[in-house]
Amino acid sequence: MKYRKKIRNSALTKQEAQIAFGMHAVAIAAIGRMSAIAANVMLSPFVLVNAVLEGVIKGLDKTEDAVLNGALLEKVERELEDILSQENPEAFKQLEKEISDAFEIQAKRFEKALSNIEVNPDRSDDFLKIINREGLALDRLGKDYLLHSSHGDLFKKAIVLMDSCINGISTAGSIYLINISRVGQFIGGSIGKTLSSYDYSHEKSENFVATAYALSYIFQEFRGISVVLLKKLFSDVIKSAYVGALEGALAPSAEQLKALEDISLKVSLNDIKEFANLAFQDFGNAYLAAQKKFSKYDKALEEEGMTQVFFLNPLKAEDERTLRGRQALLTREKYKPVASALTTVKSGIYAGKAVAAKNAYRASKKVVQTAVGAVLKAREKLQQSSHREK
Amino acid sequence: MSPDKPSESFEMNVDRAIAELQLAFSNSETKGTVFWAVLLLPDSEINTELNVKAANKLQGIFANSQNKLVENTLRNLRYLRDECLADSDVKLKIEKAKADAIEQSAASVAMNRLRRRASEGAGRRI
Repeated sequence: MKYRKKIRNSALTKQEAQIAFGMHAVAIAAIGRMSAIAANVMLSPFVLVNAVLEGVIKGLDKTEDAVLNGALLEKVERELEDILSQENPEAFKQLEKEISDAFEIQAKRFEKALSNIEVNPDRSDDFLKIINREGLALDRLGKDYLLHSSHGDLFKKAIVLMDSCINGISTAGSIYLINISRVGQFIGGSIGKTLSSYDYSHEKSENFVATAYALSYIFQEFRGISVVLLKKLFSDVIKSAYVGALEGALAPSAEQLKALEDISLKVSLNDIKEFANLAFQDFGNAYLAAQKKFSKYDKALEEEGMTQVFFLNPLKAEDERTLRGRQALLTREKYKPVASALTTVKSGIYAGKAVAAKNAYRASKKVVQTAVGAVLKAREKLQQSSHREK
Repeated sequence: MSPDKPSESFEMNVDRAIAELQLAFSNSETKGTVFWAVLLLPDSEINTELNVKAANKLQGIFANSQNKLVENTLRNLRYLRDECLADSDVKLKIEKAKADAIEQSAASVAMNRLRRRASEGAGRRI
């Protein structure tokens, strides 16, 4: 409402005000968009686990044709055990002993690794703390489990481990975050393939980010690999979100640009900035609160060497150049409002990491619609006035 | 003894056969442990008969289900049995596969047991 009031009180024509408002609305939408991505991912460990599981399952689907039906196979094996026990009792006893010994070893290993886990599932803000505190024990579990196994069944093992995460969350109310570092590459390949098939448009960015975050935990031990991979992933995420925000919502089409060019905009840059400031004030408190809330998360990312990648310098040099080029195009007086809005979006994206705003995302959809509507109306009026002049 | 006549696109080798069996058996809690065990039995009439029965059981219970995969599994089993009896290196590989299957099976059982306990004791230390 503040913006509408400001617009009403300004010296702008209605058409100009609509455009100005539209541009800022889109800027806010972009902030909201990024905020929502950040908030969704950071606040929900369930998203992380599910994203990984989804990736693994998709990878598994490809091998499904090579796996015999488990229930039928167990039936075969039970009957075979009976046959073996009757026809070669010695061999059967030997096998029974080997299985029994192996079970004792595994049970002790699992008991030991899981003995210190106690997590309150309602404290999702303690997610990171849980990882840090319990990660070592779980990491050991994962390593032991995977190091002593053959390579043919790694996907299935990953499913077992991840399934235990889900199971723990949903039933015991505990979070078993198992660092499956040794199988990281294998799963990463699967997820990577899944990711590569994702639509890079901003609509899909949340999945993308969620999976990327999930990967960051899986790959804790493969720092060399993970940093390289994550740099690329994060860079792509930011790029896609950024380009999506710009091209999908903000950047006017060539036709719209032409329309804007034809309008002698009298809108004051200061007015635009003021609108932007008002917009940011609304997010200010959320920003500070979220910053505090996510400080632990930031710290962990920093330890992973990823802060620079994701938050502080998300865009690669060439992207920066593209952006500067785009902005240079818009430095002419007529385009200043657009350039200002672009700057706002850029600032918003940088700031957006800390704006925990699922609601902002929901609101942003409406804001985008409003913005697009404003631009279209402006265009329509322009056309009408153009016709009248003729 | 040579395996069943392979298809033109299929080149039989021990590592591949083991890997395929491991994957094929991976969805059961027992991980094909008994199959590996009977493959390793010393050469004798009764043990040969046991291997044949193992193959027949698989074919019988999977009748009309996953035919192509069952056929491939049987081919791999027959091939590995022959190679195991003829080559001690192959025998070592199969022993390793058997040990892995036992360990995976034990781990799977242990995990399931823990999972059940976790379900029963929601909110408690497990």
